[in-house]
Amino acid sequence: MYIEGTIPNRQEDEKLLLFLRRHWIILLGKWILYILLGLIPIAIYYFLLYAFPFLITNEIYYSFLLLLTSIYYLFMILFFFNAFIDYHLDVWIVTSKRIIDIEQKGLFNRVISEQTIDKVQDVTAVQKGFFETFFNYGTVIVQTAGKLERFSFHQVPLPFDIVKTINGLVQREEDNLEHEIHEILHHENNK
Amino acid sequence: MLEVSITTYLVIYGISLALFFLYALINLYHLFRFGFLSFTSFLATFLFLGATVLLLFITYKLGLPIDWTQTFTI
Repeated sequence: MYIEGTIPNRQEDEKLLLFLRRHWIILLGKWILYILLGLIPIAIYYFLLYAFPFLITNEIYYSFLLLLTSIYYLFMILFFFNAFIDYHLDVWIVTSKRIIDIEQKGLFNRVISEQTIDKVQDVTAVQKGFFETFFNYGTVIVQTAGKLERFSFHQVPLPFDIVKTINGLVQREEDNLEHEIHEILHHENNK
Repeated sequence: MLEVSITTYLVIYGISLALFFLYALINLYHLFRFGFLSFTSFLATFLFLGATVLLLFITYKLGLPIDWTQTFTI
């Protein structure tokens, strides 16, 4: 387990620039759904109280409904927690040297990809729909020259700022490479 | 005609609880193994465990007055 904000397998002189997760509104949307589902037993209780009160007063039916409701709410709490874990375990990290994509695709299915900044060819941000525009989140697609050609940062906040940051890093790598080439040529010419 | 005790409900409840705890353990394992240590993850875990304990306590309190030796006929 890493501490939040640290870089997995950190290299020498590597600095953390962005530590990203999905926008909190995505998690909130799932939680609202589970809260609404949690209201169903309460609605059923009041319906039974007025329409079929013997189901509540009779101990045999009541005990069955009690245990059924208990299990229903326990699994609701579990799905609540599972939604948080699903949100928490998907992370995108941009450092001064690499892009790291960590995605949990369900239980026992985890994908970690990383690519160095010098292999990045293109960065695009996509913001579609009312919620993405209003809450300013979207998808950032990073095209690379590596084996995994595309990295996608899904539903991340401030996608256009992320594009600017990564493009800045790519430009810096290109400038460093150009500087190195000039140094080598200068050295060769002076021989 | 078969007489069944309502303790049968408790057996089914127990099996469901076992499945719940198994799934909860798997989730906690994923969080501790692959997660990033932060106040948020601690808080979420604490709230999850707290809510589970509270719900089980409420179920126990509501189930205590019930005579579980009663039977019904099917």
